[in-house]
Amino acid sequence: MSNINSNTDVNHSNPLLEVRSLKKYFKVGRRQFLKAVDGITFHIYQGETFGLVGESGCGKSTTGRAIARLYSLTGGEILYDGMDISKFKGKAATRYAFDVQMVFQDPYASLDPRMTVESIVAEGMKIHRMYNSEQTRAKVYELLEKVGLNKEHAARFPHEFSGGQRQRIGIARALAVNPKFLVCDEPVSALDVSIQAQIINLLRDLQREFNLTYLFIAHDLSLVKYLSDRIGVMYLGSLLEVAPAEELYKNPLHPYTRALLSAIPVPDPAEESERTRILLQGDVQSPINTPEQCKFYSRCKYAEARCRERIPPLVETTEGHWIACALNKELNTDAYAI
Amino acid sequence: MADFTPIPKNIEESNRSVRVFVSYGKDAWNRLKKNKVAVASLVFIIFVILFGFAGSVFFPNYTKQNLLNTFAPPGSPGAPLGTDELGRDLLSRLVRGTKISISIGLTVATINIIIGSVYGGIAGYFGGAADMIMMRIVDIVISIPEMIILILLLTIISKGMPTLILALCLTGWTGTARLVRGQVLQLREQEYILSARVLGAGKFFIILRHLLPNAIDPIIVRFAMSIPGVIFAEAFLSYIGLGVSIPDASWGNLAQVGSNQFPNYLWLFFMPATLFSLTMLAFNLLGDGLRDALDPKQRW
Amino acid sequence: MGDHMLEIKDLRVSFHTYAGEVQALGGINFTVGQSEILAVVGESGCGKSVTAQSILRLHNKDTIDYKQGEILYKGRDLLALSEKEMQKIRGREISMIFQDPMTSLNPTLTIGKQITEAILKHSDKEGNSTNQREANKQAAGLIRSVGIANPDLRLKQYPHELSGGMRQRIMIAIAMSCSPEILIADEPTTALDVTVQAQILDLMKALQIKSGASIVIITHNMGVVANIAQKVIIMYGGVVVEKGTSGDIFYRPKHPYTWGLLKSIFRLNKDKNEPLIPIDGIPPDLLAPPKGCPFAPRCDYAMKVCREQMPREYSFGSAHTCDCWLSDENCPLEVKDWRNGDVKYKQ
Repeated sequence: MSNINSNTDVNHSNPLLEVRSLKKYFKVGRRQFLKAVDGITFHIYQGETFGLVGESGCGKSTTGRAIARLYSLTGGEILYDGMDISKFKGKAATRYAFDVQMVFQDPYASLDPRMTVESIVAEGMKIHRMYNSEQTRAKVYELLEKVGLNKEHAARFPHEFSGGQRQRIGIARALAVNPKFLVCDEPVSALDVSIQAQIINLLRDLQREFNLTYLFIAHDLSLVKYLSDRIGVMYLGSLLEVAPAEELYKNPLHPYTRALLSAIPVPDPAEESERTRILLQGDVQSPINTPEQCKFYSRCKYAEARCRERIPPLVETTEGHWIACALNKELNTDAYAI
Repeated sequence: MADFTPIPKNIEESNRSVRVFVSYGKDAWNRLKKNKVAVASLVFIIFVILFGFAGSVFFPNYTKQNLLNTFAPPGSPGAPLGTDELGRDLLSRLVRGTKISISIGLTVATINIIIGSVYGGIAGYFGGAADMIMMRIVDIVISIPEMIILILLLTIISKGMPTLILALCLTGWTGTARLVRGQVLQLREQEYILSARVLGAGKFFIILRHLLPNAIDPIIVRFAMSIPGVIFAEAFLSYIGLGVSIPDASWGNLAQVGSNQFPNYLWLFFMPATLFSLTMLAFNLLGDGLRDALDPKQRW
Repeated sequence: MGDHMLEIKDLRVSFHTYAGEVQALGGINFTVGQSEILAVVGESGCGKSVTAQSILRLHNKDTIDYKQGEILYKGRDLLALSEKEMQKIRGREISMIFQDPMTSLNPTLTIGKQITEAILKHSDKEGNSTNQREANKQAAGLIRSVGIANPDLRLKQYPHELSGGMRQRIMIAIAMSCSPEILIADEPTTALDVTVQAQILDLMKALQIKSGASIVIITHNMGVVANIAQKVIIMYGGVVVEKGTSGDIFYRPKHPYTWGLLKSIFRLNKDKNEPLIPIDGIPPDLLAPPKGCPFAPRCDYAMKVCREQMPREYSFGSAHTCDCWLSDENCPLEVKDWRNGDVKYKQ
């Protein structure tokens, strides 16, 4: 059993990672762009867990992948330790690959079916020729123990493992290059409930042991809330609200965050039957060529003309609590009470 | 009476897999072994290859004429399968024909697979404009009827093995290119490839370590399936006199010679034709078996 | 009791696979009452989907092996029916919706065509002829009833033009079109976003009240269970380990697996400092299920007997049962508080 209380020390003085007006559009047709991420700004402090939540197609995974340098950016910049990551080449790119690693969603697609667990975990060490083969093997065994597997597993193939065990292998592979920052892209959403908790506990333990900083991407707000220090809520390419986890849960401001919180079913029948639910009408609109207005406009019950003037910028309302809504501070007033 | 003594939980046991661990290739091989038709085909193909290559050591005299012993029926002394109109031993000619036809089939299929894989792999991995241009070229090559190119080339340049191989390679790689490109396009987005990129792997590393090993299954199947096509094309060209020419032998010109004597000396036609047909069938059945054995959906 | 819509008696099902015989269901018993919403809960591979698909006999005949047991629908054994008789049951008496509506809709036909076809097919069987125009009208009414605005436009669209939530509504509309007695919903909201999930759950509840059908919902999400279910069945390793009313399961759980499940789920109101207690280990491989209770290797309270013999079903009150040796009157162990694992020996 792990002691949850002692989280890592968060250094609030300077952010480890800064995302500034990040835009990523995908061309999907003649003059048609899928605006996966449309100008989002946030930062992540050294040692903290920043949760990014949102429903499918909100751009949270694209953001994570952009941070892992898997995409070239359409606009904006990502700063790591104050340096623009898109300018990294050669040695600097390698150093960034050492520092920033990723854990993927699908435990079945994220491990090469043709490779043994040993060569999967050792991949990063081999790419960068970090150790000789004996050292590499020793390191692989050590990593497997760290993630709750053992060295007997090293010679086997991924298909011999269950989803949770595969996810452990994926985590070991990411840890092999001694990263400082881990992008966890829905690492447990494909797993069974009882296994999810195992992996979450593992991630927490590893964070403490290696002083890791996490960007934790998931659609499940209750999970993100449990794990994160601060949370960003995304919707259709925009970041609508950023707040400390407890604050976001107790005092959600943005109409979308409120609806999202109220839509999550609580595993308690009595509570569930008493809850009043904010039911959103309709579905998320298409992300192709979205107009320059509040992305939540079409489903928001408070929508007004000023919501269509521009994409509202993220504004700090109380300390550490940011929202992107044209109604801004008025949301705190009685007229907009939940 | 039930024993209610508490025992510790056994996570080790729960984590242990009850399934037998076998490597990817071995597993496919086990599955292929269970397919009796495919195994029979494989045995037959090995037999045919041995017949052509080892046989040529024992029966080298495929050009030796004996005008005193023309059209000898099968079972004649010195000519177990009979002789043709110039008194050449049919068994020796069949051995030679098998060697030539199988060699051409294997050579051309190999070259096509290599060219197609590299071409399709590059197009698929790099994508964008390169992919667009490369695949339009493939479309153009495919749109020209294969036989026209073959016949043109063989009449313009010269008849003979090298031209024949060149001609068959000129168009044969396109299908593989398309197949491999599709495979690579699909694999490129797999999370393990993304993971390798995040780890800082270069393009070459990814192609060698991830893309090729994972695209190899359909390539193997395609290889097995393309051999009969090549052998058939060779046989057809030789049959119409554009391929391997007499006195050398291939299944095509042997069948042609035989058909000239039809229906009088049936064995001259049926011997090469039967061997040819059975080999084609065997390659196709083996290809089917391989496809099933290598199908990821069949894995558990 | 004669008011069971569906009664499953000692159902044992195996699959023949390349790797060997997978014992998917190891003898399960449960009933579905009239106008009741029953949730079947469990992790992947626990047999919950196999159960659902066995009721409608949707499995490939070559691989499935119904070893034992009965599935009684209004007293008739569905396993004994011919394929032709079964077809009359499917859709009209018992219908089903799936996790991914895209795979159950034909991508080449418009929504309208698919709904009217279903209507026409079933009206033919009942002997009253409906013409195309009436069918169109009915179809529009149907999809309005599942909360889709602008039905005339939607009827002309193809499945890929609609969102996931809309497609699932359409599937529900088609499933409900013949007013079935039982609707089986296999993970109906798993592929959907939470805000859409909330809509679909509300819709299912509303339709249930209106039509009086029984609903069997297969899910792994305890939140969904709390939201919609009246009765709950917990499955593990191919057997039913506990069943009861929603209140029994959430507030008075008896089986260590149910405890583990409830302790390992994330709640929005869970404090960051509250430990998250997973169930260690992984579920059994049904290719070679362990002897005795399938949960025993992962169970904190395992006893020798658990590894030797499958426990019988112990009853607690009217509908609450639990298959666990801890419930045996001779068991000296007593778990005082399952939340903190407080164990006491009885005198």
